[in-house]
Amino acid sequence: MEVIKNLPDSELLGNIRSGSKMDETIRAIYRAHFESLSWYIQNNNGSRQDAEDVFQEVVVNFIDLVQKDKFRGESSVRTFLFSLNRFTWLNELKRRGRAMAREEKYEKGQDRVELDTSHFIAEREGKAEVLKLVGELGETCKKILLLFYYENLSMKEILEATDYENEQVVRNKKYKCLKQLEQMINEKPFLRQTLKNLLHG
Amino acid sequence: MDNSTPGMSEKLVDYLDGKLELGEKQQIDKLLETDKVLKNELEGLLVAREAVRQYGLQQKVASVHQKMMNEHKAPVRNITSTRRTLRYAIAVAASILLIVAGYIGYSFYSLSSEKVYTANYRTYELSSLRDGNTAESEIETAYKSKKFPELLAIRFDRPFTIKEHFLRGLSFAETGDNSNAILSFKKVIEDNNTARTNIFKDEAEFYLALSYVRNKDYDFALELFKNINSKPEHLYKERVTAKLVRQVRLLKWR
Repeated sequence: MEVIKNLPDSELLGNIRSGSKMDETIRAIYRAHFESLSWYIQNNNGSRQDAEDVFQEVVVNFIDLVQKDKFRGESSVRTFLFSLNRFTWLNELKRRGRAMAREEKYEKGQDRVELDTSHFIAEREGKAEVLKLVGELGETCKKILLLFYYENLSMKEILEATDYENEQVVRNKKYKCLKQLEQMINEKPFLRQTLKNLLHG
Repeated sequence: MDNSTPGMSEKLVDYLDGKLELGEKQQIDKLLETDKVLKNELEGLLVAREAVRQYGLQQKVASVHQKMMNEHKAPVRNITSTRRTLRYAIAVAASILLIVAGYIGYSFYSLSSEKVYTANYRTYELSSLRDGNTAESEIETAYKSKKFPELLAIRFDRPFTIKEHFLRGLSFAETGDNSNAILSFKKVIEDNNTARTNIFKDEAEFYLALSYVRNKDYDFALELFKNINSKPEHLYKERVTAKLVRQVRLLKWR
């Protein structure tokens, strides 16, 4: 098993902001925080599977917030993750229609940590729809758009990763794919609004 | 320039990607201030890019998540009913073993030479039957009256008989004088061996062994118990139980 050291908050946040060493950084988050956050959920009517699902969502939200500079660093990463975890889980319990009054009370009293990020979590259903929509794009489109807009690769690098003849062809394909996606989103105003909320916070 | 300008959409995508020259970028910036359609199109591209980013991030975390969960989960193996029964049996056996070990441990640490001695020592009852030819000696009378210190003070101008040595040994034992009890019982055995008789010899051997236990001379005690046990006709064979021998062995190991 690969040994990953615990990353200090500053290094962890630096990696996320720059998008470098993401795999290593995500693994470090899992190693340092999964068990304790999982414990919270499993002690509040949740199963191990619930804990795993919520933690995955928490990590996605955390990275997104950091990359959008919504994490102001007023608390430690651990405290922030704990708040996200609790908030996400309570939302899930509410969704399931069996939220615990005691926990709600606790939440109101305790979750003051950077709560203006709560709408990110509240968008979870819309976000799930967005992911589903992107998943419906063709494999080639998905690949090109992800390499360009998520992995930040250049056209030249994308050309090497695909079978296209030259960069211009890749550029044209990328344009068409983006427009296709834009069109798909525009057909669902609810999704467009969700994305706008995610984009602008 | 408006949204219908040929190539405008491509230019807007380049604007989004940050690929425009400064002059062209400024031109678009200026248009965006007034052209709501163009602004709306840019927003459409921005949300499309955000959708890709969200998807990419989710995929990235999901791929690591899977690996990490595999790492966190202990491998689960299906076990057969035979194996389950075997495990149950082993668990029961282990529990019994633990209880037995605990009992032995407790016995081991709570055991003492004095406890073993007290549990096995019984005051010897001297027979009242006489043959009519010999008178009861002063020592016998004192013993029957359980006047042990008085008995030990009795002296004669003759040597003590074997029986008197035996009664003196018992009296020493009763008064807690272990060393002299041992000497007296040994004297009984020696005199019997010399005279090739068997007067109170079995009794002396048993009480000598007990005195050894009390004196913590466990090797001597075990030797005597072994000797008693090896003789079917020995009067004290029944008194030398396996429990007694085991306890003396335990005391020896401590």
